[in-house]
Amino acid sequence: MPSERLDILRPILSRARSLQGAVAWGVVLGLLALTGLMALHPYTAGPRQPIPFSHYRHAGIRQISCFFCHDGADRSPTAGMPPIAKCLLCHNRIAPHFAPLSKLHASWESGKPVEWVRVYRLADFVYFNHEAHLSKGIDCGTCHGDVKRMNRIVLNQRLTMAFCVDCHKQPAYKASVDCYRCHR
Amino acid sequence: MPDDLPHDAEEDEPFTVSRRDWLHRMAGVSAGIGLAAAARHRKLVPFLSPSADVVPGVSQWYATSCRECPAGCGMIVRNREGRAVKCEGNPDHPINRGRLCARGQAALQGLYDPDRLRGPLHRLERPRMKARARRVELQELEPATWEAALAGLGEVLAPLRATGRVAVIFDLQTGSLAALIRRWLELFGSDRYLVYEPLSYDGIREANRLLFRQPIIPVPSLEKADFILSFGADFLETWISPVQFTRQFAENRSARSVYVGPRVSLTAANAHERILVRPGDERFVALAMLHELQGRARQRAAHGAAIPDLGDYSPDRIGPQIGVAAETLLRLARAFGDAASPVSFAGDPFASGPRAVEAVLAANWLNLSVGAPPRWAEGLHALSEAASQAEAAAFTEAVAAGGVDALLVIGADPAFSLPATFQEAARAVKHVVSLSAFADNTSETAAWLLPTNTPLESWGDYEPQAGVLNTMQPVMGPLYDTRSAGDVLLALARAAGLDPQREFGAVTYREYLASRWRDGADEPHEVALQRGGRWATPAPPSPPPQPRGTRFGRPAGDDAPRLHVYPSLSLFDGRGANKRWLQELPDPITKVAWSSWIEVHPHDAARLGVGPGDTVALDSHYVAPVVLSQGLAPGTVAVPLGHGHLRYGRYDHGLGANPYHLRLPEPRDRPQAVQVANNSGPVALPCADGSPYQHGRDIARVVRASEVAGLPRPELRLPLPEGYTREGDMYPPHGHADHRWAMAVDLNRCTGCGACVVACYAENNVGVVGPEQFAKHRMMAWIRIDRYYDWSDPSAPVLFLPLMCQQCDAAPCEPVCPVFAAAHSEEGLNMQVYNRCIGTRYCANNCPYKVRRFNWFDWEWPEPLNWQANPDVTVRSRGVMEKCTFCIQRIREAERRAKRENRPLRDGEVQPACVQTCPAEALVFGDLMDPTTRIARIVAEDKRAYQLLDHLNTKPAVFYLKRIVDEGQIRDRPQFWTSKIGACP
Repeated sequence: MPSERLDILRPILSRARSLQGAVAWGVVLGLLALTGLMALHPYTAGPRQPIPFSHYRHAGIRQISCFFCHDGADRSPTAGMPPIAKCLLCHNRIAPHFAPLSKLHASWESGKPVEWVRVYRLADFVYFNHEAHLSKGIDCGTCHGDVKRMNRIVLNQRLTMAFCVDCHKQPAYKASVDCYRCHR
Repeated sequence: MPDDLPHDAEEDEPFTVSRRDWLHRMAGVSAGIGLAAAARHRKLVPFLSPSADVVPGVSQWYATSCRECPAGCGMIVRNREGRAVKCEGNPDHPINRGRLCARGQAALQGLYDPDRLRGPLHRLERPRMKARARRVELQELEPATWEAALAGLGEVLAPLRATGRVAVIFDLQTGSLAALIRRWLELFGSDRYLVYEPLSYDGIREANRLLFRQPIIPVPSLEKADFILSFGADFLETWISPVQFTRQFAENRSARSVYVGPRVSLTAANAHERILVRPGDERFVALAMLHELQGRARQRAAHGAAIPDLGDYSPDRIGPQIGVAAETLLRLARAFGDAASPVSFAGDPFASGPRAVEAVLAANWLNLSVGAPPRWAEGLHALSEAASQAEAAAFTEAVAAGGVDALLVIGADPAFSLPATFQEAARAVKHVVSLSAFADNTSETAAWLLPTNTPLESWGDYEPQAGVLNTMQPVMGPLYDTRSAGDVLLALARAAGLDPQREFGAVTYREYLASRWRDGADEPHEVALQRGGRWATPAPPSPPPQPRGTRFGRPAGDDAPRLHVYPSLSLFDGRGANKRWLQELPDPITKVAWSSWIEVHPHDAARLGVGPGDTVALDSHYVAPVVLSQGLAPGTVAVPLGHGHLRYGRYDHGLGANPYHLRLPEPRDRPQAVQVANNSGPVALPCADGSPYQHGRDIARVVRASEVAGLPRPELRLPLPEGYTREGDMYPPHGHADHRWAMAVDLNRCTGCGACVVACYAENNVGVVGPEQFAKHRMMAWIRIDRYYDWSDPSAPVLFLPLMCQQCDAAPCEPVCPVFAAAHSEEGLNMQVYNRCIGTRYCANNCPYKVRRFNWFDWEWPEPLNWQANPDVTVRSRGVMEKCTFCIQRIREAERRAKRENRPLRDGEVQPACVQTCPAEALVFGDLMDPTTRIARIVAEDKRAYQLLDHLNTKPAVFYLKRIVDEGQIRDRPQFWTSKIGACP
């Protein structure tokens, strides 16, 4: 009989109710604490890279400008990846024996560049221009998120046409939504 | 049974892999392939060390020299992320001034030829010529290392030092490489070398030797001439320096131009008047004219005495013998004599012997007889240094006679164009070394194939005309394990035990070049390199000494069809055959691509019993389908050069026939005749022609010269809001943001050369469909050149009409697209949005200009041809419609540049690829909304302007300017299709 069974369970359930409340409170507080910690600590959620490069450490703690490494961003359609030589420019002196950098040195010595895993990928029929957007004063973070707080780069925003057009439609930007702006 | 064999394999089942296993494994393999392809796009690969001049995403341009023909135009090549992606003319170069022909545009396809040699090859044993030997030979070729090759050849060459038993054949080189080769030969005690060009212009060289004791090839100038008379010289297509001549011709279109020759070539089609005579009879036209002008000539003190006796060559006598009315000859002679600054020239590049020589002699005498300024010799061409056919034959004989132990063939492919005796002679040589980027016909006999860089990967220099020195630099790193010819020679010298530093003053070819460039220069050689060369004003050749008297032959009264062989506009002397853009470029007159053909006059065809498409044999050597053409002198058969390579990569494999085999030592008294036989039935040629006639639609329009001034203001329907009419338009008027792009096409300047077509292929990643799909009219060209003629009236002009998307303001393609893939841009362009397109093809059906192209397949881009693809343009896939975009990527790039420099766009700053390359400067592009632009002024002021099919009220943004023709050349009633003429049945 179902009702009988419920009768038997009642004392347990009433105890559980208070337990439930405690657990719920615990979870809420825990989440709040986590959120607080997350604000202080970098994400690590992006795809694993061949070298555990941390944007948090470089752009966040050390405050290195985005353009120091991605030097095409303000003069070319593509932001560009720093040449291995540029990494070694600093890392020949700074933490030269740090174990994860062995791959960097190996890359230089073998002549085979490190192949980074791409996080942001645009469809082949879309042509985006970094220089054009930066020259309009659009911050890198508009698309790429708060890179300073990411260890491994996380896809902040899927590059859908809706995302692009939302901005392009804002009168403040005086941008065009002509197909030939981006498709050709 | 041994233990290591899989037991039970035979007993249990015939296959050791079960079907299930097979499926499992294949699924794994295909997933692996898919993942590998996807993974490639998911990587970001940085440079190892930064390059000073490479910014990813930004183009770099490197100046070099075009080496696709001896003309030597200046070229700049666009490099993106280390890959050469586009060739353009060097704007500062005195010869081509920023323009390139179709062949120059296609130079990249030689660089990226998928069948290039990728490393040294060694033939283990000398090939034995036996039946089925070819297969055996191919197997004998083994990959080798450069070290092994140089060591092996060093052993061969070391004992030959100072013996004179070494010989070299090389293609036309001037300057450093030629000097290096000569010095290299000296070290082996030899002076045996052959500067081999298949098209050797023997007639010009020999005639100038006879006349002035100077075996030279001068460069005529059409710039200031007011009467241009060409005796069979196709100066708009291939003759000596076509880009230069096309510009001069187009700029000087008011000068009267007359073409005398056996076939309506592109040059003939653009001349005001064409006089068709059988091959070899051009000289008699000149002589008859000379006969008429003799009286005047005698008065000229300078050359009067030497003028030959022309008693027998009166127009009355000559005219009937060559089938030209005496009145025509008289009229021509008087017009030439009365002109203030006439120029006449001749010089069949292919033929040699009396026919070719006498034509040039007669043309030169014509120039001398009128005492005109020597426009026929304003520059001295490098071709003067190439060997004649007689010299090539003598060289072959000398090699065959023995005495040569090592023969180096650099760059040239003599086995393709010389008679079979060359191949036999080469087989008699112990060590043949081929230095070429390709495995060509000559490499068949070679023991060593040492792959060289293509000119685009090489350092070098070339002096096409006296005073014009082009410097060459690599426009990208070498693709394969190849070296430059100069470096190979230096390395060979070292391997043979010589010290390059002592003998040549350099260890590498680049050092050798630098030391030569430094000599006598008043600027660092890097400056010249960046500019593309050092160009003084071309020095005219020294004034010709007193001409000597000459004798001429008589018209032959033979009946057999005479042979006319001409270099193909696209494949030139054959070196273009490995480039698929050129294979896919239709011949401007016959509109045939991907094939050889034989042009036969309908009268002769009837007499010989052949019809269009019939495959016939000429002299049993040359087998090709027949194309009926009234653009031929009756009694002539014409064949183009270029096809028929035994080995030159996949794009000419099994295509067409080689007419070089028809080049025989010419009989002294008459031009070469051919036998036509062995009809083996009709085939369908890949042909781009729709109809040769306009069917009364007045598409390519003309205007008489005298009526140009009196033309009424044309009623244009402008692609602007003001073009709106209540009664004509269904949709309301619309404006444009900032710009309204438009183009003008001057039909009076356009020669129909097809440079724009190939430039578009290069710029816009246009697919190449191949012969089968081409025959089904599935070619993808975004711009094509329609050709209209009316052979029923020989004086009617041949009209060329470049046709690209008209970017209509009321575009018929747009409203029929169910998915809005065809849409109107804010700058007035008809956009085709590939990612929206679902391939209904409604737009193409509704386009009255038939300029939309559908991707029936995913077209092939075999590695490394895909390296050439423009990274700024989407590569379209199967099932998608595409068309001309007015090079939107170039518009965007120019806009970006202007924005960066914080200024408005300048007029002429945006140039689509076709406009950029047009050697005749027939195309003008610009913003129609700005009244100060060139295009706006043309549209506002030029009374020749009209729009194509304007009655449809599509309001095209392409404005054509009518071609100006002679009096009486316009037929009042258009001619309808009357007979099976042309290549497309």
